[in-house]
Amino acid sequence: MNAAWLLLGLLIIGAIGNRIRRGGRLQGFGLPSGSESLLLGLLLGPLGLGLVHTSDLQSFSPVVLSAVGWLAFIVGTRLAEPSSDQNLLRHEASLVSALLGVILSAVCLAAVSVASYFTLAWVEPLAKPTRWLLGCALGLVLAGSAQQLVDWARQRRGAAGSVTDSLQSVSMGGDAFALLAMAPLLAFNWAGHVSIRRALLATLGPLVLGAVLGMVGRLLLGIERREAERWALLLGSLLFIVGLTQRMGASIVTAAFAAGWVLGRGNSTNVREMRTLIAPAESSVLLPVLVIAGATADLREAGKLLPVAAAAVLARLVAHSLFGSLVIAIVGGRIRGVFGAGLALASSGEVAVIVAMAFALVHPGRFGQLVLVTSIAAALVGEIVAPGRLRRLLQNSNEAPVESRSSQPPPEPSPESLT
Amino acid sequence: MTSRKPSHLSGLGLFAQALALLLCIGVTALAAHRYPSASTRLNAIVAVGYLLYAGTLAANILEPLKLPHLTAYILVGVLGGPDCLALMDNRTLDVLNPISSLAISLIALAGGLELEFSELRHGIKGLIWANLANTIAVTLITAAGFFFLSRYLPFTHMMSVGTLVAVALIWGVLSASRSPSATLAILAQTRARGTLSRWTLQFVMSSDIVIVIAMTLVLAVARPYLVEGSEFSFTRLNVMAHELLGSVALGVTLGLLLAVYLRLGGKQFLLVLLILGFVATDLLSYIQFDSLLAFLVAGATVRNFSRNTREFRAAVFNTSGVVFVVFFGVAGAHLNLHLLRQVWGVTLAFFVIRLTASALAMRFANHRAGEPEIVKRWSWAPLVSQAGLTLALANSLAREFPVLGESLKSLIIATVAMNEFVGPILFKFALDKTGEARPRLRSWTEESDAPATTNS
Repeated sequence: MNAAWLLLGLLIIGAIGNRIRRGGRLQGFGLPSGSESLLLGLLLGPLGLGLVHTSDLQSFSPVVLSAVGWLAFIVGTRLAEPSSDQNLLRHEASLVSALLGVILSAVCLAAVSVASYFTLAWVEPLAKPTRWLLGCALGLVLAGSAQQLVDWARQRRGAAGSVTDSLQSVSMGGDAFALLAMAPLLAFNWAGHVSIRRALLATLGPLVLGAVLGMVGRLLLGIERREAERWALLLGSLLFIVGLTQRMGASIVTAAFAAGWVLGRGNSTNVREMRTLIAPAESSVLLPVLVIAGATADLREAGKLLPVAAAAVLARLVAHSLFGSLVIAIVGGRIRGVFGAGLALASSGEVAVIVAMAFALVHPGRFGQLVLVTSIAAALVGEIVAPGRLRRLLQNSNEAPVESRSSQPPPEPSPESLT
Repeated sequence: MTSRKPSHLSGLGLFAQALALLLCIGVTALAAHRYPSASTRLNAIVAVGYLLYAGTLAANILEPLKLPHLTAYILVGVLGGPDCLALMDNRTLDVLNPISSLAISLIALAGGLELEFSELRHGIKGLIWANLANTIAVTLITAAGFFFLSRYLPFTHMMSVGTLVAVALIWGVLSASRSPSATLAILAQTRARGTLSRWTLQFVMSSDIVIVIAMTLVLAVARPYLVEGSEFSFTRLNVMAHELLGSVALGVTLGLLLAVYLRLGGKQFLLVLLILGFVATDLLSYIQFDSLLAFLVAGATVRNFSRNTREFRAAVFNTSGVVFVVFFGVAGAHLNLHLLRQVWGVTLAFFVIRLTASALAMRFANHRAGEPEIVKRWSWAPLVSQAGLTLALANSLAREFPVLGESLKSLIIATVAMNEFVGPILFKFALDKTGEARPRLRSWTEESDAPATTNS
């Protein structure tokens, strides 16, 4: 497929994403984790019809890197938004939920890393440090829970209440963990070696760069009132962050997330206007990135490492069934059947795929492909397992209407829940 | 009523922006030298980030000096370019070509959207006179200048008189070319409305087509003197006519499709612009049609066959605001400063000859056409800028006449560098003086609330 046609397709998908986000008949349309976009990518890519070639995708790599950074940046602004249900530090309850999300993610990371380590030892004689590193990369990618699932429950099922809010905070805590923990991971080379200088640079570099440019951005947006110039400054800052961290061999998503967090803090007019400016651009970028992720995935390249992907996804499900249920019980959800409830948090989507894409772009080859394929597999499995569990959990907690088979539309969600 | 300075122009605001600009340049320089990357694609990300960030800040910082934003973008490009701080190399700049395609399509579309057939009909006499004077008088005067200054140009020393006249004529046509991109960028920044801005837009856009035709004619005449064994031929004229007519036909079709889209209430303007800028431009180049002309015609068709184009024009304006920063930054980075230093004397002479020729020719044409006094007085100012079209013609000359073309191209690049710096400043000065420039609003959608000043 010619790159121009691929671009045309991606632009149209972006426009559809924009419609889904902004409302109208398409609002909330689609699967909770955006798996239809991943499947579309798989269909177009080398695994499916082969319409999109690797060379076409390579020519898009700067755009994809920038898009991945943009999404991490938006997640950062969203987590910092004071009026948002998703703000990690909004009040004590959401802080506790967010911390629970971080712990759940850490448990998932540990479970997936250990499972991957031993499966790798079984399928291929790799050095121990390489196995640990690859295991940790898989664990990080699968650490978060898709917060879009909670958005979907709000928009499509009319869910609202304290448990819904808490689950959102849990998911966002997990997302923040995955995006931040990517930085130290990139300090190591595959032999497991790391110098102190390299460790400091890879871990603190993205955070400092993101925070400094975020602060400067805040200052400049306070000065600059014109729309086009604001866009130029925002895009310029972001591309700057993405390009520089990539050159340093550090984590793009961590730096962009940090910049978004710093820029999105507070509730001043400038910050509110900035949020309004960038809000429509999230799903316009997200869906094309998911399609590209699907099209980039190549099972053949991951080769005989594929059992590792299966083991990682399985380990994640087990961790969620056990520890996720505990988390849900703590945040007040009414659980019927201990082991199944935690799977309500097993959805995986936006953050998992962007972290995986960032990793695959830094480490092209079979390790990068394994991480990408695993993230897609987790998203698809989560799509099957999680929505039903979440719906039942929220119904049991009286926060979502009990399903009737009539074609009645769901109750109108409150404006806050759509942010 | 007290007028308060916008916050980006207050003393503190300017100081903060200057610090941010220094930080941006410092960090980019540090990264370029400490973490060099062999990947041109990755370097392109930093390059676009640098151009957007530094360009926007520099434009604000230079605003109190009444310098156009475009000049700031070019300066930032020159500073980061291979001849100065080397923050971007030539291979990285080549990766940014698609952004230039997007910019050119937006420029042409925006230009077309400002062309109303009723106004064109009203000013057709003036346009014909101006184009005749520009194409004939400016070409001949600057060609004569080239002929007499050729003793200072080593690459012409071995030429026969016939060949020298042929090269001088080519130079003359190149000198008569103007810059639609710079014109549009200045008009967009100043939001100028009035007789001079309308005349400039109509003339610069129409001269773009006339110059392409004139260059084809001159090359048909000059080729036998430049290429041994070649004969006078109208074949190229045939091809050119095919390209021109095809571009117009496609432009009308594209414009009608856009008009239908607007009529149906379509609002995905950014998507439409991106599709036009990347996909349609790619298709047009594949079938070898002139995208600038096609988009110009498309814009004019939309303007004249669609009732409500305000929102669409606002989208074009907002998008081009961001794209222009990168486009002119890249143009600045491409400028060959070493060459300009070597040949600055003769370049300055050519600059003066072209400026004088343009001023005289326009004075004569506008007098004959009975244009308003404001046009007679200031019409020279918008005609100094040169950029994309001239460089595109220089590139095609270098391809067609490899021996002569490279030397001529270097001279053209040096002259364009000077015109590109000085031209926008003069045009903005003229718009400020005539009172056609208007204060900038936060966004174009606020336009309806602002009083329009016209002096027509």
